[in-house]
Amino acid sequence: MKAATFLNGLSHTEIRAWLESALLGRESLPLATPDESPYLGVLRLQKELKPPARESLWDVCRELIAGFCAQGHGEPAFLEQLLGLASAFRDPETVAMLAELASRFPKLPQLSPEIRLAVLATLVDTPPPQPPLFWDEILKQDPEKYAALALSGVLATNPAQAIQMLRAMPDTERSGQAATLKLDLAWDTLAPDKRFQVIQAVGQVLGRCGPRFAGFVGAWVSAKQTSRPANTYSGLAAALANALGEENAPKVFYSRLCPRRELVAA
Amino acid sequence: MPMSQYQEALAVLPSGSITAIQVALNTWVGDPDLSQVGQNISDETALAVDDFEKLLGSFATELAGGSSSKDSWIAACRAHKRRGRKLPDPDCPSILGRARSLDDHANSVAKGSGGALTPAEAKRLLLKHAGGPVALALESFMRLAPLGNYLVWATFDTSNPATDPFDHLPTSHGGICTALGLGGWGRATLILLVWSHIGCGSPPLHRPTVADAEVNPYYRPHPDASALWGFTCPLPPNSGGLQPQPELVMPVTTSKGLRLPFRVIRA
Repeated sequence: MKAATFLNGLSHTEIRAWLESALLGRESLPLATPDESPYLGVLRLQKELKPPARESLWDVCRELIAGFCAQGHGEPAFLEQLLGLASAFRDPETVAMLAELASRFPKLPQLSPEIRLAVLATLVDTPPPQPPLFWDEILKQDPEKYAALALSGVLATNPAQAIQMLRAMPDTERSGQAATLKLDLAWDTLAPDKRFQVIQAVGQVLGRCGPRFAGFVGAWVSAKQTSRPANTYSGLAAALANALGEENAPKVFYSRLCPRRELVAA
Repeated sequence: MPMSQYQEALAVLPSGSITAIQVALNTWVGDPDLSQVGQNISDETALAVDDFEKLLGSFATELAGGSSSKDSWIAACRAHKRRGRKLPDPDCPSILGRARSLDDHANSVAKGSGGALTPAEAKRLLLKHAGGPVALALESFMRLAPLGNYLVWATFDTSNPATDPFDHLPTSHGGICTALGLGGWGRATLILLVWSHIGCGSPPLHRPTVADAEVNPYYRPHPDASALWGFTCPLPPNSGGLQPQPELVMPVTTSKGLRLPFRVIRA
């Protein structure tokens, strides 16, 4: 590829200038459509680079993030692209810098709301994940704006705590819709025997949520309850155990999320 | 032989500007992509002479400022978007469509959600709901997503402008890329978006120009200056003999007129 050959011959300083230009859409990049985000083209191009040029490119990305974090502001269109690239980079040092920046949001009045959200989304999507305590602090900064991202952040590492966090969600349809989608994605990754436990735990928390929020999430809970597998119905499980013998009956597993007595009571 | 629109526009500029532009275009000859862009500038028919003159004048000004020829051209183009003829309202197709990379649209959905979803979550949701019923919650966020970045390139069905333009195109990834002239990167997973023009607020539709295309070497000017819209250049080898597809540009709008379900096509 022509652009890769060109980049392979550049110094670190030249690669920095190239990346800054490329993220503003001023360089030839392998883009699927003319309006595609430039960082996606940079990601494709870096795969074609020789190791020294690729490492230099990632170093530049880290430097640019460090500069942004030090300044606490920047041109939004450029920063959106840079954060997209950094998310794919998956560099722990970069993630740590962004987490530290996020903790300083209240002291950064020049930083646009869009970039604050993009930083938080990058922290959700990029390993290593931040601990629940970090997301608790972010939520306190602005519960209305950051609740959905904080929920995603906690859901990634501690689903039980995330379910308890639903009580702190804003009482809006938008918040309910977002939580529903996140829970649905989390549901997809759960083992079948854990799913009902999560549904039940969510259902229990909803009583302490606002009505608009609870309406949306409650509808999702109801939909999932109607589609729960046979082994989550204690009565059906017992009938199958009688008919097939205990060894062949569906197995039901319990966790602290859903103690056995609650399941039986249901 | 009459002068081309490019020659007419160039002739109005000061001699220093003419020379600077000609020198710049000459430096592009050795570059396959930029030489095509230079050819496109020369062949463009979609700009009124006045607009062409302003575009070239900006190009010359940028060159005089010391920017590289490519940067100068891009800067001039960005100041002259959507200068092609505006499609009269009665001629606007009621249904439009486009293909874009799934990753890019996931970014748009995340952005449109205002922090409700991350790009990775949006991508997983789009993959999960592609081709089938879309959860109400996802639909609400999808309708807030921009249809593109900066400028939306759209196609439609000339024979039946009220139908899905992808209905008469191949269903394969390669076939869609070929028909739409998407040659920049042929391996990205695509999402096909189809929307109601009125449902999206009836944004103005324009015939595309070289300024809209910037340095995209897959753009081709339509030779008919009176044409209402442009046409894609199907990618070679085009073994299926796919016809050029009509193309228009429009400002970025949200997807409130999006038609569901949507499709995702893997390479």
